[in-house]
Amino acid sequence: MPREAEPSLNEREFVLKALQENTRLDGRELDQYRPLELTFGDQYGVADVTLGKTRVLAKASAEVTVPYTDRPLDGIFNIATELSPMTSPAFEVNRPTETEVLISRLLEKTVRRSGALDTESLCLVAGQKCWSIRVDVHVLSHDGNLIDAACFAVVAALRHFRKPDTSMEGGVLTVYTPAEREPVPLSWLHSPFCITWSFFGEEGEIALLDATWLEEQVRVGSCTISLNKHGEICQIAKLGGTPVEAVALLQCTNVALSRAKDFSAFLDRKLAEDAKRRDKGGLLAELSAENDR
Amino acid sequence: MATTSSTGAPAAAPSLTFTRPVFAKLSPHPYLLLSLSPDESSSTRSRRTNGRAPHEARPIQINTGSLSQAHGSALVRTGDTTVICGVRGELLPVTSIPQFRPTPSYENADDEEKARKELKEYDLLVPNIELATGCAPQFLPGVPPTTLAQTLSTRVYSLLHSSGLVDGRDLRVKYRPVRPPQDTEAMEEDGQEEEEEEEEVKAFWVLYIDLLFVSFDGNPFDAAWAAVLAALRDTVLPAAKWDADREMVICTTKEKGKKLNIRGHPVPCSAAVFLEKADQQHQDKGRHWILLDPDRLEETLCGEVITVVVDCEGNETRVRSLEKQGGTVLGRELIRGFVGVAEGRWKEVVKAMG
Amino acid sequence: MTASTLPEAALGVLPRADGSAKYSHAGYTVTASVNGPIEAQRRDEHPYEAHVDVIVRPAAGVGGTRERHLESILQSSLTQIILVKNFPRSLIQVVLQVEDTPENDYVNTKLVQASLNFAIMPALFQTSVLALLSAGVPMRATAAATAVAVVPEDGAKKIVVDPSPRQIEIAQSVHVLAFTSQEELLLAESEGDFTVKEWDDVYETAQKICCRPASTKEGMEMVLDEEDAGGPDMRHFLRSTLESKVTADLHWK
Repeated sequence: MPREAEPSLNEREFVLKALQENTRLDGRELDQYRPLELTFGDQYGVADVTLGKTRVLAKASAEVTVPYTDRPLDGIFNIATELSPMTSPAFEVNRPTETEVLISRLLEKTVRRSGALDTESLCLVAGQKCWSIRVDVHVLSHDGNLIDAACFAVVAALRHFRKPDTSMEGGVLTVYTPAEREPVPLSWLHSPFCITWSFFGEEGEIALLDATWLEEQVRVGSCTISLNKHGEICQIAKLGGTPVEAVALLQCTNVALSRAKDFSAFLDRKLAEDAKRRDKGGLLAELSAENDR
Repeated sequence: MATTSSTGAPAAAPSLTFTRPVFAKLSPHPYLLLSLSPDESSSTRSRRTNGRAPHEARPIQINTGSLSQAHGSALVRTGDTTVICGVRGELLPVTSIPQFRPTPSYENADDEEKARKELKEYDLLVPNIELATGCAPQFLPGVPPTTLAQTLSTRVYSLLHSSGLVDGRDLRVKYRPVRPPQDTEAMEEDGQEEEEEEEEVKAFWVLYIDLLFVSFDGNPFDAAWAAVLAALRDTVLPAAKWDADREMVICTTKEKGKKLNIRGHPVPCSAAVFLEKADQQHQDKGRHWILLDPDRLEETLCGEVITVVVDCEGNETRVRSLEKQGGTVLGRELIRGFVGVAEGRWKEVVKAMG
Repeated sequence: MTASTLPEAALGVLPRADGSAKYSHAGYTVTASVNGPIEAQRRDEHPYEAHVDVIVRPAAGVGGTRERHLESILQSSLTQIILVKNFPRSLIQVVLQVEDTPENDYVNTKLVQASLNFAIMPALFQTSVLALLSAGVPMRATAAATAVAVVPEDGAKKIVVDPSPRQIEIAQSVHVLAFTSQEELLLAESEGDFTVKEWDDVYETAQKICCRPASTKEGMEMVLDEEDAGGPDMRHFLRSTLESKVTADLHWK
């Protein structure tokens, strides 16, 4: 498979020199995100997130299945991240790369292990039947900062998602089809977001948010902070790279909190808009007996 | 054509001619082309390298019940393609189906349609195809299933469902609950329907249809489907009963098992299109031959393939599936004509099935 | 949500691929990227022609045998229209990502489905052709595909173009046909129960959609209004999509 071309020495120097003069190639501030866009699909649980030229699609789906024997009271929740050759021909099907492993680990820690989704509410019959919620993350285009975009897409898809309604009657479980009963939302506890800082310079003294692919290739280290709008940190990952001063990192966390608040407000607004859009049509309108006169 | 004369030829001459197998290996396309288009002057007819005429299929042999452990089995041979199919029923209690939803009342008119949906919803037919290592040189040991194997199993699965071959009602294990006596008294006051307790489905038979290619020489789908059809017709499921006390399904050997009710006789017929020019991508079309029941060599040389599944049981020929891909030679007229060829093949296969 | 009746497409939606397209019609939305000709792996290398690699990725779940079958159908068809002889020993990679599929409100969808999905094939086909055009891969012809179902209705049989999942469920037979721009039949897949006569009718309907003869623009719209039931005009659609893309690209001139 063809390998990704690395930035040339000149390009590298150019980016770094510009950063030392507090200038980014695309003219953004150091702590400024590229324009974030979010669109929901026709179905429930499809979120298409664009962050500059990075584009990530997340789709949530639900299925009734048998719970794991060691956790009979919990439902199953999975996040599947696979980078297809669509992202770049350097990725091969069924051969995970380091990027892919890192993203899925971080998403797992941020969303799954922080208890964002109440897995106990997914249990239907203890030890026998439960919901299995799966989120598929598809990276359509990669221009840096995949983690933040993917995490936002996963959270958006899950909050938008509706699973079929169920009922228990005399020990018999019935899963209703969307035509019979309106699907119900998941029991969602809090919305964590990933904010990734990239470090540049000899001692990592320059820190910036939302690095592009070119910037990611020349950075000396990075740190992903996952937190919700209440400022509760779910995880911090600084995987090697140049050591960074602890005090600087504290500053980073503060900025991250304000970004998480922005993300949260943005997502709430988009969800409300979508709900409004859906409300007009829907089953209620179909069932109405009134005539348009 | 390429015969080496042992006598009379000068010593240098033999090095310029090849034996047939060498010619076939070195340049397969001209080899088949020469064979199909003999010289005008010679009296030989157009023949394929395997000695068959273009529209001649290999004779088919079908042997059923050869596996003693399976509930139904068949061995199908067409030329050097040999496939063995075993059908085994396994019981699946409804409590093990997570998404199971009891359908009320099984005596309705649309019961058949419901049973058909059950087959799909609960995956009661599980075909699996294995192209054994050593059945042909291209299959290596220790690799994941090849694209060919995966494609074949999708095609068999799709046809199993779309043709409605198996009646889903045969796969239900039902039970009519007996009403406890104290209940009956209370009910008698209410009305007459005392013994009309609804039948419940307690379990399903899942049919595992395993296909193993013992030897592979082209046209795998026709052989595979013939084996599936013959094996399913041979399948006898043991009599199964729901034991309410033990809450499990019991199979008895005392009662005779029931034969599956197989609807129809869909038989596939495949062909490949051989083009005169190997790189025939342009407007000027050369000659082409439609090779029925292609072997392995022919399959590697042909891009365009067609499979038509027909059932001529009734008055009118019903087409159950049609797949054509990989080329633009076969147009509307040729495909219509090919259905006629498939009808001929149907008679042969049904006769072999007995 | 109601599915859009007219197809929609956008070219060059992915900035980093050689060519890309997003297409949505009848509830299906597919994005495709094309990279090529690029270096082929040793096992895929062909000494005389380019290897066309098609990857189909479902919206939810991992690809199974069904996706492999779709890939093999698309691969054999696309190899026919791409001038593969122009690029020996190289690879042309087509990746198709399904984004949205129409849902049947009367059935709870299962994640893994093994049987062939006919209705999605035209969307996959159109998207890959558009993406190939956007990547500038030399082709002998363009092609268009359509799905047609024969649905029983009040005792009679009705031909439905771009059937919904619900219609497919009750249909007697479902067909997918693809034609090249030279009006040759490139692909024909059918299942169900039908006669040769019925197939003929289906063939005519599909041909009408895929290769309606080109006419003047005004005439075109009139035809569209008259034969609303006939379905969209795929050939004209492909052409106008590309024309608008070219106009947009040459805007600076």
